[in-house]
Amino acid sequence: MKIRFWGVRGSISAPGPQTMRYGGNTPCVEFEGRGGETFVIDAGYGAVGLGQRLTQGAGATEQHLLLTHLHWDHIQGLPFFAPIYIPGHRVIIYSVSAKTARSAMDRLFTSVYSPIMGVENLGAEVAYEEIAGPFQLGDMHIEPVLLDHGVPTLGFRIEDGDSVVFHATDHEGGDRTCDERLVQAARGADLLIHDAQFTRPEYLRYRGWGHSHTEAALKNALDAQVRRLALFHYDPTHTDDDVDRQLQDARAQVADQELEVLAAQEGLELQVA
Amino acid sequence: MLVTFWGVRGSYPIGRRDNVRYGGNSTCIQIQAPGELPLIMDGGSGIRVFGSTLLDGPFVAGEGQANILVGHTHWDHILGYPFFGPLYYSGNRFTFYSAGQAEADLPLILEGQHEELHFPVPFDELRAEMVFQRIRPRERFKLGGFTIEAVQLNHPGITLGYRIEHLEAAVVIFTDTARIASVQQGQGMAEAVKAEGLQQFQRRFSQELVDLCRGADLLVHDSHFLEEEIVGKEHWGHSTALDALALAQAASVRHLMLFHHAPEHADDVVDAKLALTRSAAAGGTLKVSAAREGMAVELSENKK
Repeated sequence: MKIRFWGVRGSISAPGPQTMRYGGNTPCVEFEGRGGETFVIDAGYGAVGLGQRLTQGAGATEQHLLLTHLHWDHIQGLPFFAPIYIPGHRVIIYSVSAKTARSAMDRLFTSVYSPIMGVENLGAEVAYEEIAGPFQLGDMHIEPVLLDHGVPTLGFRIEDGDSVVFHATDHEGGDRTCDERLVQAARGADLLIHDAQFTRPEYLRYRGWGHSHTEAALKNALDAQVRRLALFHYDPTHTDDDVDRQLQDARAQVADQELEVLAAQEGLELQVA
Repeated sequence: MLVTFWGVRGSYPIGRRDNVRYGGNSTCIQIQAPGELPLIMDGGSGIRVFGSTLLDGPFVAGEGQANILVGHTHWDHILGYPFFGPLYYSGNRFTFYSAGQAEADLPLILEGQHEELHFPVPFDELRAEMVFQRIRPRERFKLGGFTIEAVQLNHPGITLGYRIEHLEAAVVIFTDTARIASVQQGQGMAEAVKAEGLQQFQRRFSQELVDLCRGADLLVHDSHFLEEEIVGKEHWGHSTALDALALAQAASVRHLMLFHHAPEHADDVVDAKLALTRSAAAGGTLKVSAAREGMAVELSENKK
């Protein structure tokens, strides 16, 4: 499986010289299975870059977009996701509830917030699929798991026959039941992409906000015995140097373990095998 | 008067390696004058960064006060408010000035950003006092020593541009506006065209913009499209840099600040846009710049 990070920043885009190495755009991750089929998780502003690539040349006219949840930072790129304006294209939105996904789309495009003045003015066909249990996209098997984030939020175990990836954002580590569910589903994954918005001292101030600190991500990765952990969903106030330190610190904590730790970076393509 | 740019990008904030010189945050401008409350135009993603500079004075003691001019409520102009730190401190007081929207009033629009489905922090956790004032185009009003006048721009919904004067200094901010010759898309404009005829409406609208900009020290103006890009997109609600230049020249403005850079434009594209505008303005006294995040422009308040 191949993974491309288009947006890795949490909460709100934070562009600027101090975030340009890891990237300042809100979440969007593209997955490509071994058969070449693709899907996308979340459409923060990172989805703008992806949309531009998807509409250059003759690509697929059908996009599968899985939404972890409907917080703005995970959907705000949709009004600027190029395929959605192209007649003949089809964008299929998968989420916990088709009803709330529809109402989120209505709100994104409504005239007080958007010059598009309504979803009826989109060129592409937008379809809604409800995620009720495990499902298949081409060769890829996707298993949803409920995370701990206030509103219903899904993590995904993704298998393509060659490799296994678990995508877990937004999630507040610490609740035993929730973490156990995540660990169970992520067990043995080649890669775990995990919320790491805060350092531990910061987390103590932001407990209950629905995000994890470095140690919580490490604990879930170790408990699930995954091979690699990608820190993800950085706080908008964190500079590249902050993320460097967070990564160093995480690596030092698991120096005697098998676990490899990396920090997700906009533009990074990972081959997971 | 000091005008500071915290966000200069239009449509949406975007971080890229090739746009860090001009900056990727969406619109937010701060206007300061000696002895006056801070005045803020727009709450795009730039207001988060601005807010982080306020967190060691009266705004963390719950004694801060500021006035906010709302141009309009498209995402790129409001998405920063939930991340504007001073709004979370009890005792601070913010007064928002905006046009009424037919669909919903400003408090509801801002509250909509905090719906549980979409944002983890409820609206009522913004502990600061928020006061909402509706303003009418072409009605001059005072905010302390500032004199403000708004005009409706040519952009979907109701979008206001503002002239802000302090002593002898004046800045005009038109963040989003389209060519009136191509399209008449502001709320109520279709009806006005019907009532007074297209040509008469266009003449009146253009004259209103010129009147409001007349003699200003600084005109901050939408320059979203390159000249070759706007063809076929005239109805997208934006201008080119040369449209902005024509207005600045017609109104005898001193300094034109190109603003609302398109998100897909890299720094060298903005450089080229600026160079083109400067060469088109050559021979006159008009100064032309392109807004950069962090830039501050001092306007002389005493012209003697």
